[in-house]
Amino acid sequence: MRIQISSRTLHSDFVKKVAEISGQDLLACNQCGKCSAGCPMCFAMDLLPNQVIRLAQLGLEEDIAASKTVWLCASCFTCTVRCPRGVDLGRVMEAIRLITLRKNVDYVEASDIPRDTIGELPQIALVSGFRKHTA
Amino acid sequence: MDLSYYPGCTLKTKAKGLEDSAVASMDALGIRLVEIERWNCCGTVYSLAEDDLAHHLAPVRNLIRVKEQGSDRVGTLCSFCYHTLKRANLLMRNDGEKRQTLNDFMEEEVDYNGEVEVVHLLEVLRDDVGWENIAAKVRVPLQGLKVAPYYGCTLLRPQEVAIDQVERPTILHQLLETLGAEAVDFPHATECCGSFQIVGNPDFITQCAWEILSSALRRGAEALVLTCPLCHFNLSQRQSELMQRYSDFQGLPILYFSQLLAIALGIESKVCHFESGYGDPLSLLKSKNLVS
Amino acid sequence: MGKLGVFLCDCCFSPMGSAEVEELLTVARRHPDVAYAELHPDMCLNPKPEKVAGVMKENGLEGVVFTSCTSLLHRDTFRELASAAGLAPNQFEVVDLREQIDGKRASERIIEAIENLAAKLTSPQPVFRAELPVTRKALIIGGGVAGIQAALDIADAGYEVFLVERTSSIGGHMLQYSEVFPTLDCPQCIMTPKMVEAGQHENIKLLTYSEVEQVSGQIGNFTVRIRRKASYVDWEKCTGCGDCATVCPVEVYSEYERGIAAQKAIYKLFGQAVPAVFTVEKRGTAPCRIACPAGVNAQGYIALISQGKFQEALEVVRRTMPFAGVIGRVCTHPCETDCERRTVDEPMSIRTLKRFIADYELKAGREKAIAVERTKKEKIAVVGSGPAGLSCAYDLVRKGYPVTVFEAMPMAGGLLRYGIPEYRLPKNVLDNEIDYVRELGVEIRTDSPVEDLNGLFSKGYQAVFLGTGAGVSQKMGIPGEGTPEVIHAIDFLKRVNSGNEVSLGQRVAVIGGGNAAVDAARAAKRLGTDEVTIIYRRSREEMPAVAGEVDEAENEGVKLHILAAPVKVLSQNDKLTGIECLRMELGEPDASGRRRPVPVKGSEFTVDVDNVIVAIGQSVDKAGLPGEIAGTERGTVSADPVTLETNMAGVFAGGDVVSGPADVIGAIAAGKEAAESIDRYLNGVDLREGRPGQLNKVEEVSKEGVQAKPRAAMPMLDLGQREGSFAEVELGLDEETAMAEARRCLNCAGCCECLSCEVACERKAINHEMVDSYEELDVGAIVVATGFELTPKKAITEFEPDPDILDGIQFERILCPGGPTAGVVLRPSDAKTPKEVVFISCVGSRDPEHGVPYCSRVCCMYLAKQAMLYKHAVPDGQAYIFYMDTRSTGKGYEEFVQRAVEEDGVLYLRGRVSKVFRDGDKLKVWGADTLTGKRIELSCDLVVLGMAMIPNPESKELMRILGINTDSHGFINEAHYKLRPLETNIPGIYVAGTAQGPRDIPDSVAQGSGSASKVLTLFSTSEKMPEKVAAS
Repeated sequence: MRIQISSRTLHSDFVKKVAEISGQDLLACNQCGKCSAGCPMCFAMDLLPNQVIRLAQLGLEEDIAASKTVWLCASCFTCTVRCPRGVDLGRVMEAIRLITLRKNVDYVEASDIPRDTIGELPQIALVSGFRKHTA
Repeated sequence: MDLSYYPGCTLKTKAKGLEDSAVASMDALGIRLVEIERWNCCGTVYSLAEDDLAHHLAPVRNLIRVKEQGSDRVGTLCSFCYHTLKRANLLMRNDGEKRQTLNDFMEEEVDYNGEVEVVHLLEVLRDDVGWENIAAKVRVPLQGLKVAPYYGCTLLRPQEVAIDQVERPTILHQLLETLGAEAVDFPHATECCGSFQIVGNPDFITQCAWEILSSALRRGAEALVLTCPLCHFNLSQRQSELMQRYSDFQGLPILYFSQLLAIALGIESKVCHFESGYGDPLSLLKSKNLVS
Repeated sequence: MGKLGVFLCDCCFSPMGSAEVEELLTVARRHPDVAYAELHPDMCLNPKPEKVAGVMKENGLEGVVFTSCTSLLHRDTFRELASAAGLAPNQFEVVDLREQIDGKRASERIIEAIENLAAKLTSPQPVFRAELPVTRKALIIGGGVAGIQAALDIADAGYEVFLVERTSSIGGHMLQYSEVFPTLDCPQCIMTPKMVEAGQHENIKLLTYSEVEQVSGQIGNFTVRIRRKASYVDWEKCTGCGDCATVCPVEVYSEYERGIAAQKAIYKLFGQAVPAVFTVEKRGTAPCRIACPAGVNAQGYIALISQGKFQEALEVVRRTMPFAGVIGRVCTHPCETDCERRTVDEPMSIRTLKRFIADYELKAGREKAIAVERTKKEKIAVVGSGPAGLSCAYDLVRKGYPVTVFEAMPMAGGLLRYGIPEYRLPKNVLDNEIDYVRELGVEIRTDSPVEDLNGLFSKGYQAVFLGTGAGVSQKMGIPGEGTPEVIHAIDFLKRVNSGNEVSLGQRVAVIGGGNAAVDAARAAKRLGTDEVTIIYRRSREEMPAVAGEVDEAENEGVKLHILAAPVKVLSQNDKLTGIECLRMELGEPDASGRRRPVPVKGSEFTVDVDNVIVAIGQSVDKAGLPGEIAGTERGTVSADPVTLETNMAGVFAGGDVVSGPADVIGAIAAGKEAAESIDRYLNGVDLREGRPGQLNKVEEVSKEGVQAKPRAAMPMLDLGQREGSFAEVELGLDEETAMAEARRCLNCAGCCECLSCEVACERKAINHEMVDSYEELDVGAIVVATGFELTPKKAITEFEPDPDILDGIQFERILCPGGPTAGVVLRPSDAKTPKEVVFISCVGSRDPEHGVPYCSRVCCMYLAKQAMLYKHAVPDGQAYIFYMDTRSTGKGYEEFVQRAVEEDGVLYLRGRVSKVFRDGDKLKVWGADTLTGKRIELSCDLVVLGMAMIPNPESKELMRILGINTDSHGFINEAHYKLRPLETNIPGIYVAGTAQGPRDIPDSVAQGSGSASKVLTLFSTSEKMPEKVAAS
């Protein structure tokens, strides 16, 4: 099936929300791929970070929603400091996560984590993990 | 000199070795760390959303505590706390609109405009104490110890919080050399350990940890030094699994910078709480005759 | 009543709307000087002078203001129009409205023009159209391919051209390249004929190794001041044979080879250089030489040692002083303290190297020195044969004076002989160097004390140097000091050094922390004393003695008792039994910056000893000084700090007798200064004016690529062999170690001034004293072709610095058949053939966050070409190119890139690289292929970076001098982006090549010809001087 792109998808609410929440200009990205080249979590991602931006540029919300990439971002800001165009990808990833989380859909279920693990993990791991992955 | 000090949650539980060794070392170097009163959790991560102000309240309240106590500077040790407090502070300093909203919301608090300076204790060592003064107080030079300095993410990125050059930082290298150790520069010094992904995706952390640890080993490191309790956990707790997976991996001791500082300053090693961590840094230090 | 008119040009492309135009006319009409203001649509396209003249006559106008949308394009149009309408230059103004779109500013400009014009008309000075003759000579700045092209075109048209180039040869970057795209011509083959033509053209004068310092005047008549940098080689005589470079011992960074290979400090820029001459690279004076009080040229002899030229090295020392062997043993070496190498690892072993060359000659057997010819009559007396006196005599005898040294002791040498023990300075070394001074013609009379200076003058001496030293021990001033077993260090050492019997008890205390104390302690130990203790009142760090000497003393069993001061010498039955001391602690710093020792009350303790040797300092023997000479409160001789004159005419003094006890090298320096003064005094030259003065210290020394290497350790005599023996402790370096140590030298000054080249040059073309010269040129037009540089690699911080990460020009040098590897592709780290090579484009360019925002334009093409040439050189190798887009917009360029892909199998990977680092003998490259959505890791042998092109940083100052505008990156702004691309904002100054923006060779050459045609157009007009626009 061909993907339909129109001014409606390009200017969809989703695109606007990502731009608003992240404060980033998605069109500044020229798809050089440097973010993906340096991303430490890339090995586990189904889409590269630059592809997420590209899909967001095109307004293809479902493709992004189907991808795990934004949930695997560790907010390490490597892409942020190296982006030649000054796009803060960390913020874009956060915005996309929040659009899902604000629908009350959690990525991590606290009850799934073994009790021992919770006892073992440092507090900063648990709090930040829940901050990033739960509503 | 007295310095207001924000410890954060993890230092009181899982990372006592980081805190106690740092407090004792700073004391020996003439800086008394004065823990601020009524501190709360910093929130651990800085909110990256333009429309989310609520999560800035926690770090800002801590900064207000510092201001209330008449201090204009607060030292931090945990990389997460440093990052969160530093960025929340910059927000309060530079974004008038958000500052107003946040101050209005916290009616019960005094207004805060970013008056406090947030620093990491590594910066205090470099800028206030100075390497030369530290060197003069080294009683047990860490001679013959090859240590890979590992910086992680949150002390360096983004640019506005960086305590050193964003790429190829040297502050830990300089500290190690000041203490008489050999700093083993390695390419993964600023690569991410996977951070909070440990909660939901521990297997991925194993992968991240392996890349970092094996890189340090290839450059000849005998230990790895860092500042962050989460990096410490991710890089040490995964090692048992890595040893099973890679038969020639013998483990790599992970140390906080403050632990090595304390050892070099000749402070009793019990402040390092080596017993409570993973791995066995102690036998390495013993084999080099650095602790008895 | 106004007499001025305003003609407002307007058209449908005008930036102004009709309301704004109306407003402007109203403003103009309101002005009291204006009688007429109207709209004249399309006046610029269709100028009608008769209409202007008609309007003027009709309205009785005396002057006119024309407005145009942009004077950049229309100024000349209106000028011609005014002229055709019969207006003199002072009768009109042209206003540019494009930049004043905002209505208010436009009206201000019009009012301003009206008032200017009114003022011009009422000026009592008649204004004529200036008709100055055009100087039909052109100046080209920059000798790259664009500049050469411009020069040849203008010269071929018959006009004189000056071609100024910063380096010593024309050719520019193009000469550094291997084959060039898309035709793969050899640039040397196609470029050298052009260079030779430029070099031999009767109309071209090459001014290489020169810079433009100043420009004044205006189009048609510029005056330019050129600084011709000192090349230290007379280019009229230089044949380019290279004999000089063969003997030059110094290798320095080569800008031409970009660090891939070094060059000699005397160098020809490259094989085909035009002019084919040599140049010496001097960067100032090395810090070691500046630090040396006597100015010994350490870099000079070290460079020669590195080449195994030991005798020549020794001659370099002897140019300054005769004491290589002595100073090589006992110097306090301030040179090493300042040695730049310390910032890499450890300072050079300068002192030890100097000693090595002296030992080398002594061991080989020195030929008797040839006496210096006596060219002067004036007899000079030197009183005292210590280092100050002998150095003074040495310098004077070499100037041709008859010199006599008077020494009170039986042998010459002063404290060198009687103060320093044999194990530190063997007597044969000292004797040899004193003999050398004698052989040159200095007469030394021993056992000849001088009591009466006037007596010397009456004996016919015309000048005297007084260098009698400070040879009296200071007293402690404590009870019991008179006990016979208390000996003073100087007396003790004198007896030991004279070979006299000295009897000491089994336990000796030495008081003091200086070299004399340590010497006395070690000597006492050697005489068989069981227990020698040095008692010093401050801490060990503050001991003035050389640290290594203190260490050795301890190794030999001397005990150190620091922070203790003697208060009483104890004796029983007139026999010394011990010394009572007080413990000290360190208080506040004193004047010397050292912390003052403060006695601890009630801390008295006793050290049981049989003898006490006092070494707390020396002073000048007042009784031994001639009575006529004036002294200071400190008991030293009073002498002028610069000239060393004393109160007696013709008597100069220096060394310890003036300074109080100090180091040997300081005394040597004083002797040399005195020699300079005496020579001046005898020739009636002012003693102060023009003395050899301040040297220019080298500002920055590059340490790029310098590997840390510890300094050579001095082999020492075994401890067991030292007991009871005065055999020398430091054994000296062997040849191999000395040469290796010498190679650690960073050659701070570039040329080390060893003068080997002077000897080698048969044509006597080398002149190390050359200074910059200046030339004034009159020219009518200037072409700026100052070229480009690449962003430095170190700006890319996420790539680990590595010898195998090269920039594009460095890799050109490796590919180039005329390059350091003769075109064999070898990587710098280990000279192995790289089998996998990664090329990265857009490094630092198209990156507004970290580098420059613009596209560097040529990298896509040259990286494709380099990948292709690499494949030709290493057929079994693989080339990868990380790219963002391939910009191959020139003729034949896209086909060229396709060839690289299809024929040479170059793999293009679409994505930027995030990180490069070393992993064993490979480099790891982290990139991405955005086409497949894959993260890429490549292990390769060599990485080539397509770094962003930037304007030549050296040209920044020139732009200021010329007054020409540049963009925020420093590229020259054209007068009009599209229509006047070769002109700058200053009429008469044109631009060609990459100084204007990144471009390739064909475009640069086209611009060279284009700018030449602009110049020729100017030269072909009969008389031209349209308006005054000063160049600066």
